[in-house]
This record gives sequence, C-alpha cells and structure tokens, in this order.
Amino acid sequence: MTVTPASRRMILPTSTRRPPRIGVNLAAMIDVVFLLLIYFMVATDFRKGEEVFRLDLPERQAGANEALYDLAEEPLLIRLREDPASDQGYTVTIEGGWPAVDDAEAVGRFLAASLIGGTASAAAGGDGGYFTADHPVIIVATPVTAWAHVVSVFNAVVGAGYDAVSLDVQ
Amino acid sequence: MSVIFQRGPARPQASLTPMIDVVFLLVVFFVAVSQIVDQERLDMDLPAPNPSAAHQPAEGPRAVVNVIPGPGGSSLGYRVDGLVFPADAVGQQSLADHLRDRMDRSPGLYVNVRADRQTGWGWVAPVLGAARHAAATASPPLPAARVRVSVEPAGMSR
Repeated sequence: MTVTPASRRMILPTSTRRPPRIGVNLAAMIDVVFLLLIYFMVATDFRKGEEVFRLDLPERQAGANEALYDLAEEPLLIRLREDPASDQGYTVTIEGGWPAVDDAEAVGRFLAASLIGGTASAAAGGDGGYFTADHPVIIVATPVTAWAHVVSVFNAVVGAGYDAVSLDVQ
Repeated sequence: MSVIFQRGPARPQASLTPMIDVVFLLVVFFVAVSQIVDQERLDMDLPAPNPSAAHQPAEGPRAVVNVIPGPGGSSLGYRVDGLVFPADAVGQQSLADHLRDRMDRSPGLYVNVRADRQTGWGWVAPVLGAARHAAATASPPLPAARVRVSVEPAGMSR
C-alpha cells in the first residue's frame, strides 16, 4: 500500500496537529524605523548648550529716564562707541578721570584692580580698591555698536567681579 | 523502554522586542529634540567672549527672544515662541504685550535674548525695554525683568 501525504493526514489523529502560527512580519517596520533613526542621528546637530549672563532690569519710573542713574552710589559709566579705524573696532572710555583703556580686556584689568577686597587689587599692591562688588556699573553704547563689542565689555565687567551691571543706549 | 523523540535542528532566534523598544525611544527622542531646537533657536553667530564669565543657565520657564539679523547690522524683527514681531514701535509694543502674557502665567519667567554678534546694540536694546515694560505691567507687577544674554559657550566660537 502506498502512503501518500493525503492519506497520511487522514491516518494521523487530529490531536497531534499544532495550531497554525500567526505572526506579524516585523522586517519592514524595522527597516523603516532604522532609516528614521539614522536620518535623525545624521541630521541632528549636537551643540554644547549656550551660556548666559544674568541681567536684572528693574522698572524705570515713567518719564524719568534718569532713574537708572538715580542711585545711592554714583554709577561708574563705561562709554562704548563703534570705531572701525581702531584695531578692535570700537573705542571704550571710563568716565570720571580714570586711566584710559584701550579695549575690553583693559577695562576688566582696571576694574579687577579697583575691586575692594579683590584678589587682583591685593596682588597689585593697591590700597584695597575703589569699588565694592555691588557698585553700579552702566555700559552706555551707541546704537550702531556691534552687539559682540557690548557683550565683550559686559563680560569683562562681570569677570572682574561686579554684579550690578546695566546696559543703556547713548 | 526508552522513547526517542525526533527533533529537528535547533532554531536560535533573537528576541527583537527590546531592540524595537529602544530604537523607538531613540526615534522619539531625536524627533522631540530637533523640534525644540527649531522652535526656540534661530541660527546665528552669537557673541563668543573669551575668556568668558558666562555660566550655564538655570532651569526654569523661559521665553527665548531671537533678534533676527538683517543687513548692515540691522534687524528684521524679533522672534519668540514661533511668533515674529516687526522691529518697529508697534512690534516692540506687541513683543512687550506677549512677554507680559507669559509673565502673567509664569512670574519667574526668564527672558533669554539671542542676537547676532554683528547686530547693532540699538536693535537689541528694545528687547530689554520690552522685557522691563512687561515686568512692570504684569499682574502682579514684578520688581524686575529677569533677562539673560545668550552667548556661545567657551571654546565654541565659529
């Protein structure tokens, strides 16, 4: 007697048959997901987070632009002007008969040496400096002054140890 | 009596479920991050003081105001929260109103100012004025606007 596959199925008891396996073909989905992953990994520009300078701007009284200068202590004014003829592209002056400065770094050195209790003033053999850390400092720049120059002077003042720094338009 | 079971060859199979989970998480992460960056940050050359006295910003609610750079150091407007305000008196007032609304909802709001290094200070100053005005007119009024000036991190100058 010849046993054919059809006759074998008829002979075998039905209890030995396994239920059919129903599966989802994941290959296509994985392909797409991997493509998306590679795209985002290549297209994403990872950069170090930006840093910030803190600047608190108190309210000015209405109609009193001079309120910024109406402080208990006379503020130190640093004037900034765009000057393409100069090496650094700007000129900076400290009002009040203080020594002339050439650039933002010089401003930082002067202010660090003038800070009461500052390490720079002590190292320079000074008499303890002229200004406290909370002495108001106002940077007054002309409207056409490049933002980078304003920030460089601001950075120099903050780096010298002063924490009451404001910006104003000349 | 011994029974011999007939077995086929062993079929090793890798479990794909954890891998799919991780890959999906990565895709969602990249999608979310790219959208956040696109909405908040406009591509521009920020000032990069060196050495820098700036610091990493503290966490908290923030409104990132981008001063859109224009030709010759000018500005084409101010972009914040996906909105663009023109760089004129009306736009500055609208910017102040928008910041005031944000401060009403989040009194501890930081206003991050991002401007190109070549942009004139005269175009950046109105943003500070708008932040100050918004703080003064918020309900309740705030004693000061909390402004942060964004710069490139140290050693990241382009």
